[in-house]
Amino acid sequence: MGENNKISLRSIRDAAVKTASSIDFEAAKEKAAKAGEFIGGKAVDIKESALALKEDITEKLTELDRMLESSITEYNDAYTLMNDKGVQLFVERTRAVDTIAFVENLVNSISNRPKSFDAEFEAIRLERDSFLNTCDFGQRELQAAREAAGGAGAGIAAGASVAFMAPTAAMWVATTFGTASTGTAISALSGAAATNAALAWLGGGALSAGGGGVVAGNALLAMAGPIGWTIAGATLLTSILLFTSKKNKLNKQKNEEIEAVKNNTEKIREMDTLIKQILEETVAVRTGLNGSYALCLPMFGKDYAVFSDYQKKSLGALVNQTKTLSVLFGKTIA
Amino acid sequence: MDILQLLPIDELLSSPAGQRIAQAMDTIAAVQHNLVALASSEDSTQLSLLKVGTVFQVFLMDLLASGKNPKEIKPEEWGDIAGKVSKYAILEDGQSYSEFVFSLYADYIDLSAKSISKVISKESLASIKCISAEIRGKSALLRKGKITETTYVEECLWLSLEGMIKLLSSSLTTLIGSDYSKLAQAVSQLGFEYGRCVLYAKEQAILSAYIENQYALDEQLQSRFETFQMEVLKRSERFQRLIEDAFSPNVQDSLLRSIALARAAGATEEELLTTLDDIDRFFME
Repeated sequence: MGENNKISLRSIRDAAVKTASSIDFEAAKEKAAKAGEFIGGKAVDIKESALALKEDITEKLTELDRMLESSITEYNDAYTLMNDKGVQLFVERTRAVDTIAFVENLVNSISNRPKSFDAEFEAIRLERDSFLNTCDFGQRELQAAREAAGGAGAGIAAGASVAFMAPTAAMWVATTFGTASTGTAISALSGAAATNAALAWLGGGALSAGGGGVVAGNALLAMAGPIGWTIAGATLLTSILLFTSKKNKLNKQKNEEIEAVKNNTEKIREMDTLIKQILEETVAVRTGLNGSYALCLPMFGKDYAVFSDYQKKSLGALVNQTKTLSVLFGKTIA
Repeated sequence: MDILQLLPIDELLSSPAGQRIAQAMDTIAAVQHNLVALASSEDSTQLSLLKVGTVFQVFLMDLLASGKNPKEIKPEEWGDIAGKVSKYAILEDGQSYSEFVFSLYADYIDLSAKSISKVISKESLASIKCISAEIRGKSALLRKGKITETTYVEECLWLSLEGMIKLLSSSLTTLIGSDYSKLAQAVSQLGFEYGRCVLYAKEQAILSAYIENQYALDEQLQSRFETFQMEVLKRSERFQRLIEDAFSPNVQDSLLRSIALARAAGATEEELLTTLDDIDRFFME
């Protein structure tokens, strides 16, 4: 910025005086009043919109909570159904072990050397996942609200101490722009009178005229003025923004939790379908094998060499069917 | 506009008034910074310390504001402060602390309104006092269990902020006169409501997106599950047919079909008895 471009305070004041003298203050006041009325009306409209939005937010939060609750219920139901089928499969496989043992006895009573079928199975065990329910989120939201209240409280205390303990840091506003409650501009006073008037303005201005004075036995008095309101307002705004941000974060987590529960429920349903399939196949093969075993039982302990081709094929089919059952034992759910 | 462009900002900031502005802004910024750090801490000990510090400071300030010199504070007065700290911030930590904070704001709004009651209009005064009354009303609702503490804190934060804005805009009467003050109040109220509306609209948009996302996920998962179920059903039907065939009463068929079943089940080829020679070897060797 060059020297020539600098404008002296005198030239600014002259310009301001010239501009001010050309203003029709009455007309401006009227316009200001009309504008105030119009803007005030708009503020009321926006307030109504804000309240309607808040109501909708509350409904949406309730819906999200309901979604979380119902998704957990569905997960638990799906898990219970799958678990029941897992237990049924376990019982069925235990029965199948007996059937295979009978076939082994029959085969070994005929064959020259003992044979064994793999009749060990791995039980299907799946862990139940635990998810946060709405109460947990409610608790965390309450904690966020308490933090916001904590911040708002600390702000007012800190603001009070700023205004009370170090008034000189803030007094420039009063001495620059303010007027004392008598109507005298503070900047027009000097010395101790200026300091007292400024303190009175900072500490509540016209309250001194009402008899309370700066020292009214209340800590809040120290910041009951524009500086205090600004500090408190900034503190409250910070608390609101922090709280909103935490609420949004919690809602995001809630949304993710619901997604996780639903994805898990879908996986559980898939597993349930697979267990059902293995169960049905195991039941069908075991039942069929019992029938084949019964057909072959008359050959128990007999000499294989004297068997007809028909009998040998029956035994061959029995062995293959038993192999099938033992392969089904190895089936687990990934 | 030209004047503003030509004003050297560095010169303004280096003036005594500018230095005070910077000093005051730095103080507020430091308070805000510490506040954010403390209030956003995940550590509950930090929050307790914040509350203890606040209650201690408020009651100590109260004592100092009554004209007490710190050196003159008696042991029983310190004991009294300690008692208040333990009452509000330790023993009844939680709901009572939230109530304590907002009763403080209600008192503060009332006291501030009283301080400017002679210079502002009756309407402005009434609308400010209405806010403190509403805060106290919310406290009563909270105590009766009609609203949750979370709702209480959120609503009281907004009410208190509205109070501060109304106090600031109303106090402008002393500087710009009542006609322009009304305009200033309307503008500040519009700004406040607009800010609140924007925050709410943002929250609403996020929630709407989450809910739509959940419905879309439901459809997607349902469709995925149906596809999976169909595939499993097809495989299962095929296998069930093989089982039925394998246990057919026709022995010739049952041998061949038992091979097909075992293969479909996943048995290895060398384990299977496919011919009479295989069966002979199995039983004779």
